[in-house]
Amino acid sequence: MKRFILIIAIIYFEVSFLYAEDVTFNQKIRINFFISVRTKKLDPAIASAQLQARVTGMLNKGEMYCMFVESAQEMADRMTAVLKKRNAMIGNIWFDSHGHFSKRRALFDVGKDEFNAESIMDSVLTAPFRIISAYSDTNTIVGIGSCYGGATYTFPSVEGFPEQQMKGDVLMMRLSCLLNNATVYGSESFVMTGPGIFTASYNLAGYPRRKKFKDPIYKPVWDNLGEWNCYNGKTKTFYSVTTVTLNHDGNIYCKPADYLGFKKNKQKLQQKLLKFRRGNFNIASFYQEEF
Amino acid sequence: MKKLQLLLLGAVFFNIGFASIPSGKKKPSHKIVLKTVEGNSFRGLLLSVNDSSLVAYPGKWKEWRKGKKYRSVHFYYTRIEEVILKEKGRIAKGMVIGGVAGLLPVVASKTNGTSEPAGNILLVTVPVGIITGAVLAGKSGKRYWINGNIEQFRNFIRRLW
Repeated sequence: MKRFILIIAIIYFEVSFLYAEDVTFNQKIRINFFISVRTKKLDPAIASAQLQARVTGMLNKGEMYCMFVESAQEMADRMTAVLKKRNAMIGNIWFDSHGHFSKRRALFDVGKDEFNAESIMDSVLTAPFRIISAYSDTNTIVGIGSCYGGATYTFPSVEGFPEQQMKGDVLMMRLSCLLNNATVYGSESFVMTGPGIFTASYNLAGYPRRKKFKDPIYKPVWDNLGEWNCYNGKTKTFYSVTTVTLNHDGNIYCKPADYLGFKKNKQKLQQKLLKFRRGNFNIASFYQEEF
Repeated sequence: MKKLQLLLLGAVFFNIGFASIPSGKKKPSHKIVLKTVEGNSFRGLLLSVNDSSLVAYPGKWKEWRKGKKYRSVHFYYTRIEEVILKEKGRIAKGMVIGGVAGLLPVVASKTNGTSEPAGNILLVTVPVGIITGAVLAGKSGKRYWINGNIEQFRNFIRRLW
């Protein structure tokens, strides 16, 4: 009887020891990051997002870090320093940058480094992502905060430039692969940075007021207002989701309803579409990309 | 005979010289707003004009001064519907003209013999004149209709130079 109890006790402690190790690993703390570009140019959109991120970071010290970087390598160096010190994993990471419609492809910038469906295959350019992938897993959530960063539609043919796939889905899949099958969110349309982007509201959705965006060239963007896509690295599935938002901790999640699910937003959109006029957009920006 | 040959050679070179504006002319003098037949708008700087096309720099004055290298764009006349040329320095000119126009009420009041101090009038009329001059000059520009027509394009070249 005593031997039997001893054997049961040994098995129990061994099993609980193994279980404790798993629990400890799963409970490793998660830190959120907001990555934006460090620039001397006066850019209201970027400045607004950065100011809100700074304030949110200050109010949530230790939970969210905002980093303004000049390159992807600087991002990797600073992130690994924080993650090593805190012995943590990446919870949510948001890449805040402009999208460039005139480049006719989905992309996002980390400082001066541009990542699109083609350049993300470059092993030299993506070396910083491989460094931070050590702290990323299937529970990591990535947000591409650039306009049209997850766009899947075809850019229409304009003035001799052929139509071209935006390849936002390819960009998201490859980014997920780089970050150990993380979940990646990307927008089909505009990503706004007005006040309240960290208030878990619809403030990331919306449209800019500038005249140049009210050109028929931008029709695919306006038709997909507030629509986001998701690539789940764990299940290897790509699907549409409702409008994405950020909360006060920098966590990325989906709202219960789409931005265009609200009647007033849809009505506003219809009114805007009627005012579109060809010639509002300056096509010189297409030629600026040629070298 | 030799003289005749030299004359003929001179005539040929003379004609070639007028076929296109010298491409060595690197400094653009006009901002160009070009509307294509498809309805799209191109805004840049006019570099040169040939007998059937024009060459433009697809950037702003600021970018040109900084030496930003963009490939120049050729627009064949068949693609052009309308060209609006805006002279360099027009806003500064407009501000000067507006400022001078703002001084006129002072001159008028003095000739009428009114007692209101000139300084009070100038404080209002000169800034208003400068702003109005700048706005009007900014919006102004010479408009040329091409409509993809070679004759209208050649008229445009003649009026330009």
